[in-house]
Amino acid sequence: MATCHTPTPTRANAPASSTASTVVLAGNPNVGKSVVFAALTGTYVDVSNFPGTTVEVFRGRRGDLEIIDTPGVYGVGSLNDEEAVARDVILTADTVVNVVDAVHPERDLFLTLQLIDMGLPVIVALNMADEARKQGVAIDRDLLEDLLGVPVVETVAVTGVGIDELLERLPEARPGHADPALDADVLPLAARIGSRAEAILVLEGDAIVAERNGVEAHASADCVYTARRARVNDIVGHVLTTTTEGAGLGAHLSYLMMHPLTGLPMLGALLWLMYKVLGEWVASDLVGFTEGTIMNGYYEPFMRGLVSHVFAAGSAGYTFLAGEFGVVTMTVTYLLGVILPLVAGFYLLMALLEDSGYLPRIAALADRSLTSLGLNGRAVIPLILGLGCVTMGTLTTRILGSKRERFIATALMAIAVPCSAQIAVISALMARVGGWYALGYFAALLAIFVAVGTVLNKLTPGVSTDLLIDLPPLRVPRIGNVLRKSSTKVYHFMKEVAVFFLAGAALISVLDITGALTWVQTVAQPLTVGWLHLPKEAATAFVMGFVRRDFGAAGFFTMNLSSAQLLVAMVTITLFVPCIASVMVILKERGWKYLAGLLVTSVSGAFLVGGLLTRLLEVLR
Amino acid sequence: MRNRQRNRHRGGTQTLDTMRRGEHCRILGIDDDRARGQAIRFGMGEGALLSCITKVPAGPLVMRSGRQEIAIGRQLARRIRIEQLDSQAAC
Repeated sequence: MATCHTPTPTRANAPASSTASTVVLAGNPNVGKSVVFAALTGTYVDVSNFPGTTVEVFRGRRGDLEIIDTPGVYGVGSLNDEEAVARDVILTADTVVNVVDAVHPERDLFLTLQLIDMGLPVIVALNMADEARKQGVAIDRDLLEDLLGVPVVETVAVTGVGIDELLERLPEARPGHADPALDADVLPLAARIGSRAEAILVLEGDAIVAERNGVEAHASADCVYTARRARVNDIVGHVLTTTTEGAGLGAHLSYLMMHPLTGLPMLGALLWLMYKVLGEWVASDLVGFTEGTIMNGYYEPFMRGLVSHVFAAGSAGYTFLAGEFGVVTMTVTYLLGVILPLVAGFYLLMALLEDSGYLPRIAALADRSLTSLGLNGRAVIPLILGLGCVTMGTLTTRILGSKRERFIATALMAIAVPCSAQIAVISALMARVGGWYALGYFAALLAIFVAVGTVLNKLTPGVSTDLLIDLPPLRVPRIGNVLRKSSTKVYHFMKEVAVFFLAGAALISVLDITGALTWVQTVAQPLTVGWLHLPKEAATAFVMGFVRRDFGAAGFFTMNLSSAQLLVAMVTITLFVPCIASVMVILKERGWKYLAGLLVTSVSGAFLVGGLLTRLLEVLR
Repeated sequence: MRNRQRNRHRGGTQTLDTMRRGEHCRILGIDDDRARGQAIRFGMGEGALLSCITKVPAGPLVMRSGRQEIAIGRQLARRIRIEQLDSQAAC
């Protein structure tokens, strides 16, 4: 029976038509694997510096070669989603190009030896050879080739050096010197299940591969791993010579970034800078131009004119297409005029952070605080992204190690993290009322963030994973990398979100047409006026807040509110349900039960906190 | 100080969380299945020589092995058994 490995979404279940050879790229995170992929295929792909962010699999072509990029992993197995995806793609390979970071061979060769033990035809691309030499690391390539038994090519993928040689020597890829000690166990197993590669994985205790082949997973992982680690150390001992220790300025800066006394002010400065760039320049100035001038000024009137040729203004069809939440007016304006510039700005900043190596250090710094919320340091990535756009943050919870952490992080973002568009509007409003109220707003949010996290940490079943991350060396970001990485992410994000947002806007339009929206506004009035002591128009703002969080906040612009009312309104609208795009993404990522629970909690929580705050402020005055 | 010494030899074995900046150790065992697999991939499995380069107060420890740096959460560090080495032995 031919082996069948089903679950990878991108697996070409290669029909007879495909006679082309499949080349799979495999390597640790941050070794420049995706850059090698781009150099081989000429396609834009994700290049990531934070371990584990490449969850997608990218494919491309060169001549009749099909080239597939896999998530960066330190080994192949079932340790996490990335490993499982990488494993399943690697199992389909005719040739594996193993990209090895020349600066960290002792880490990277572990995967190399695993691939070789699996009996796969391997060729090694020893990447970042220039950087290694700069850091005083020299590797005897010829000796490494002899010891591994597979071709080794030196590359500097970012400049394209060595790519031609890699392509030329691709046909030389071959199974290398596997550990002979494994044969006694592997050979009979391989004969039984028909694949040496899968036999090795079964031996290493990969329960999924074992189940697919109808055999029991072995419990010899520790033993195999330890032997492999010893071989890696032995090989490295032979081929590597170092002339300098890599300490110095970078190491000192790295220390300062992670120590709370210096790290917190640095993080504060970074967040302030990000707010300046995103909240002010992008969310106000740039979006003012793209949304206000271009979309509202030219695009929407044009579309409304076009639609009015077919549907009379005020008719259901007109409202659906070009009304307040029109599918061809508001939806497009929102996606292209607001989301696109914001997300592009955010991903650009994130790419700079990732490429510099600062992000994992923030994770180390924040680990202690996040542990008490049931998360670990890694969660700073989705949380920071959530400050840009909750939708973006929710999608990024995929990098977290357990379902429990994804559960908590998603709820925290949906409830207590305002997105950058909302922060921009809120800070404009808050500027009217003076510093104390603005401070009160952030203090209230922080308190709620901590409270929600603490409660969820107590109530959510399961165990959170501990922080264990690789800290890549600090470096000046490479602009090419940053642009390629951010443009790919923006593209994928827009593609993922556009459909959800269209569906959401269509739903709201239907509510509007059927009169359900006015009904909601009327029904909510006792709550807004009676409980929150706000004008009755506030109901409209809350409904708008569901469509777009910053719309909700902006709805209060025209109302004549006292400072205290404004603070109450801002806190309540922030805690109130996330926008429709996030709701749709949460539905997709976490399921409807989670979403329903979240909506009930955030709506009741928002009004509860808002009402209590109202009374507190009235007592204080 | 005496208190610290006691801590360091809790139950007869020392754990990674007792390391201080600049100290060196050898890993004896990792009592966490998931982390063990991950650590060995990083080159920080049993027998690995590490030096502590940063200890975030109450937070993670940053350990170096070769040119590889890893941040290890404090909870996890308590489940990593080590043997402390003289300062010159590790590197």
